[in-house]
Amino acid sequence: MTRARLATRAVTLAAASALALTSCASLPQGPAPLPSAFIPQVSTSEVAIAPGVLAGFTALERASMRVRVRTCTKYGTGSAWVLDEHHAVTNRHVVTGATDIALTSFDGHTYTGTSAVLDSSADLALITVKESFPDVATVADAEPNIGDVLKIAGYPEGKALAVTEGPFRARVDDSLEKTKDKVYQIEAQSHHGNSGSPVANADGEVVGVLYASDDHDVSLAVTLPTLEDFLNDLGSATKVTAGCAAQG
Amino acid sequence: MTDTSPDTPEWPTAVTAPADPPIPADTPATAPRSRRSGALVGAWVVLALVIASLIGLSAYLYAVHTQYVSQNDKLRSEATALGAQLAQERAATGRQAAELSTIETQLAQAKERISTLANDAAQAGDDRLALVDVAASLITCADQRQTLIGYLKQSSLYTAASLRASEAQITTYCNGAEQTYNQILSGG
Repeated sequence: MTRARLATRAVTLAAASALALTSCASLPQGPAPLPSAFIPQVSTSEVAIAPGVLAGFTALERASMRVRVRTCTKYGTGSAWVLDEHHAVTNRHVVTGATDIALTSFDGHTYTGTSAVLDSSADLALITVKESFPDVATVADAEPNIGDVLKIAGYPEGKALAVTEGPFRARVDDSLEKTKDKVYQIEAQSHHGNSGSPVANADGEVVGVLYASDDHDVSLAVTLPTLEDFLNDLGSATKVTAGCAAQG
Repeated sequence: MTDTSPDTPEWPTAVTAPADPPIPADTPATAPRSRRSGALVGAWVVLALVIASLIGLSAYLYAVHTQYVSQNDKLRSEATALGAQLAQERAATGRQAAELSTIETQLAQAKERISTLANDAAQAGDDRLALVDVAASLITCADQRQTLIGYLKQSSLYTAASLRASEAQITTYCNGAEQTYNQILSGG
């Protein structure tokens, strides 16, 4: 084989290799264009303050009221929560026999009760006030589940606003009011003066109304269905007005 | 000389022109040389094409390289700017977190203060209400004692027993009012 033939073969082989290389191998592409901005736009709505908190007080705390009652023979204190602009819910036993009702908010504003409506069976009452409440509590749509942690916001011993919490343990018979309705048993501490306190779920929505406790950190509350029945049937409730002469 | 190599085809004219006169004795030496020359030219052409292709490929690769280098420079510059911005943002976030912590502490103190003041106001309202009531009781006590004095001035009109009973009733009432007053003063 001559040198020329060898050269021819080498060139042919090189050409074939080059063609194979260029045809089979993928050529690198140029870089993709850069984005116009490297920092994504973030909606300001993603940065939000905890819902319902104002001046350090939650909506539940702002809707909780201290109740001062004067009867013909004594003074008493309890708690209540704002249902709407002119009404607050409390316990019947808090306002029974009242000749004078005054509500005080978390920040010291005072509201004057003009009348009260008492439930005939459950320990519930609705107070009407002369002034307008700025904050209103939200009533829950559904009952709490066993084990849910519930909050109680009220004025123990008629003193400063305090919030306690504990798990919802059971639905038990109402041994105090002798009604057919069940009541919520909550493993949380409450005191005199807490009567009428709102019992709220984790979202701060009212699910019941505290009305009793024992010495073993167990509190009892009127249930949400009972509360709804009371609010939906105020016409059959007993209306009372201030004044010793009005009492039976 | 014959070539059996499969990549070197036979000269076609030798087969398709049998009627041609015999080729002179010196012709066989010229034909292979011509074939080799043609193949060599073809090879150089192919080589030239390959070289041209490689030059083109190199140019393309250089252009791509240039684009990557350019983009890398931009990215490096952008990354440096973002890094500086991130450092500033982190520092600002740290300051804001410290301020937020301070504000939260102040807010908790303010909340406590608001609750305390609200409670003080409520207790003062309770005391005021009780004092108003006890003041009314003491005024009633004074009025009744004044009435009793009137009875005593005209004692001849009343029996001694009725005067004593009236005095005892008024004294009980006044003692009760005084006791309530003292309870309020002592915070009971």
